[in-house]
Amino acid sequence: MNLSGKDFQSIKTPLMALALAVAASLTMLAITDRKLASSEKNYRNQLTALTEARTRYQRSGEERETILRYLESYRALEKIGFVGTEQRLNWVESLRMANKNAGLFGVDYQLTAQEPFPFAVSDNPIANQVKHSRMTITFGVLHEGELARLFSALSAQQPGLFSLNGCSIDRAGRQGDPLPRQANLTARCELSWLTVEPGGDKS
Amino acid sequence: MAKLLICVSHDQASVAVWRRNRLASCTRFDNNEAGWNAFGNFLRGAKGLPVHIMVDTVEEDFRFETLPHVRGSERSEMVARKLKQLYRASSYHSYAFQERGTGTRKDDRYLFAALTDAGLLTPWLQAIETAQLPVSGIYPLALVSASLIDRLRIKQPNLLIVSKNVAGLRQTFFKDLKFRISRLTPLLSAAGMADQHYADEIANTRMYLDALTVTHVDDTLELVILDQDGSLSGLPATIMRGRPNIHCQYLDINAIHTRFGIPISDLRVSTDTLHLFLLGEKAPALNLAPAQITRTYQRFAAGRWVYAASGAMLAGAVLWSGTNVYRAMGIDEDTFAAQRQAQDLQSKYQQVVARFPEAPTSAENLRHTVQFAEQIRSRLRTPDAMFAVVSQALTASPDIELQALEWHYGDSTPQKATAGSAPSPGFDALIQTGIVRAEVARFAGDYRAAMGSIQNFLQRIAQDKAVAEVKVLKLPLDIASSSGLNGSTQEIAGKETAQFEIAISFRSAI
Repeated sequence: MNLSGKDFQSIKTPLMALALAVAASLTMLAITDRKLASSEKNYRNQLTALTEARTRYQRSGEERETILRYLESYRALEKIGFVGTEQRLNWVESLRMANKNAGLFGVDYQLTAQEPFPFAVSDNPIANQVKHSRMTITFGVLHEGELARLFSALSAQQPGLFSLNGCSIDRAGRQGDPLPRQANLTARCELSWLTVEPGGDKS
Repeated sequence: MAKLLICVSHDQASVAVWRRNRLASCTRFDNNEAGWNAFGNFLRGAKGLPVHIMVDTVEEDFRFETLPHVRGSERSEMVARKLKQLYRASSYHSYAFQERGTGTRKDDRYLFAALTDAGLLTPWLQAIETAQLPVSGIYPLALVSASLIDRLRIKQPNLLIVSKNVAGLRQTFFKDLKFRISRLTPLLSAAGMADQHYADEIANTRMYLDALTVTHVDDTLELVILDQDGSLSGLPATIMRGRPNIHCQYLDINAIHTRFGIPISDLRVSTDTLHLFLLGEKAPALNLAPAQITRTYQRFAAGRWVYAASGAMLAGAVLWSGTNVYRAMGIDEDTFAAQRQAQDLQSKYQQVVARFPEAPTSAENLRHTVQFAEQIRSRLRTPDAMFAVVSQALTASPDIELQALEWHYGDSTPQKATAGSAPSPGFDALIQTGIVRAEVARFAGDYRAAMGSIQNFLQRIAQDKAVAEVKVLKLPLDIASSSGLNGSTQEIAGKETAQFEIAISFRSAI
């Protein structure tokens, strides 16, 4: 059957109604499908939150034990300056005191700007919040044993938490036997002063 | 579905509206100018209704033909040729497949029907066209009668339905419940002689059927008389007189009203009312209307289909959307319940937490911070281990003089430049490494002796359990085949040196 213009004219209105119906149907389906998907997502999120809340509640006893166990140590770390902002003044002052107590000839120091501590400790999430400032110290010593004396004296000051990255000692061109009461060797060491700010996420 | 039903006969047209399976607005229009005008006015109130036309006239023809069994377009073409051959003068013709033959050829048996003079329809069709109503079909009244078989639950193989219509006395015969012949006899106005006249006509029909061997003279004929106006009440008795093999069912206006539910008032309007009712219920398959007449209806039907499809789609979408909303509401309720439960647990947790010691941060942060600090402390290393190893080796090697020492605590690669090098990632990957720069004392150009002293010094370092590996970085004399070598055998006092450089890697646990 050949369709004429009159045929199309006669079904123009029904076709418009069909187009409207299609548009309305698609709109309705799109809106309600989106609503359903949103409800399902909310439900899944809420279930996760519920599971977390239940777990947290069930583990509240453990949490209390953890606080009792680690609080004192944490306070001590706060006191020495590992937790919180950097205590650069303490570090410098402690270095001065350590030099004096170790009986050295003076220590030159150089501190870099603070940066993230690059050690990736996968099982400890706090590692991502640890920062360090590298300090290079240069000083003269009578013999290599004075390095250990300096770092012992520095640790005794409890200026914070540091790790020793490297040291070098050389004779700086001096020949012959070591002389008494004189810096026969030049030492150069690098330390990392570590700090952490765990944030105020209280229990 | 509402529709307009029209029964056209020679003298008049009976019209009714079919709505909700009932007849309404039964009206008659005379076949003259006034009637056509009145019909036109009537149609104005029937806007949008499809029209079904039934024709009751003698200008009709029914034929049975047996044609070869073919299908699809071949059948259409064959039947079209046959129709053209049979009814060249009329375009109001059609056919209906009746049955498959039982012979060896199994040919098909068709009923061909036509209006041999359609002039009767012309004024009515013009009025319908003017009113722009779609004509669904044009059907012979005789074929509309076939619906009575089901409605009256008739099973008899020889059935003759006699009805008094506006056009005349219609006799339609069904053999084995299938249409066979139909006759229209003019009405007789003389009431006294009418019964006998009609009885004779029926007897003639019977004789005609016997002559055609459609029936046998001894066969019992089931006769159904439809008498809407009550003028045939004496006919059954007249027919039955001396005719033992005829079984007669007489349905007067009340019986028709009871059996079909047609209001008596409508039945009184026209003697075609019953057939209008039957047409409203079910239109015959055989439609005499040519394509140009039904074209408007096809458009109309297409539009209705599109509307129906739109409605169905919309209904489906509403249903689906409703289901979505219903499900979403259910899920929202579950979400709300879970939220309340979580809040409840949270408040219980807060009550427990309130009894905890005051802490500056969470328990996990406390634990992780302290553990991290312990890790740092436990991994803190000083050069003491390296000093001890080198000191022991130097004590045992008096001919070696130490120039410089470098100690590094980081990844496994020994690096010369200790100061300023960043520690490598991972506590477990950290090891101690060192570089020793020294020279052979009292060297007098004897490289072999110097090499031996250096080798001894290396071995003493390597023997220490803390040492994993010792490598030579530089020797007083590079004797490797891969590099060039130059020097002088001439001794210059005080100028000879035998400096060397070694790298030490400590075990990871140290």
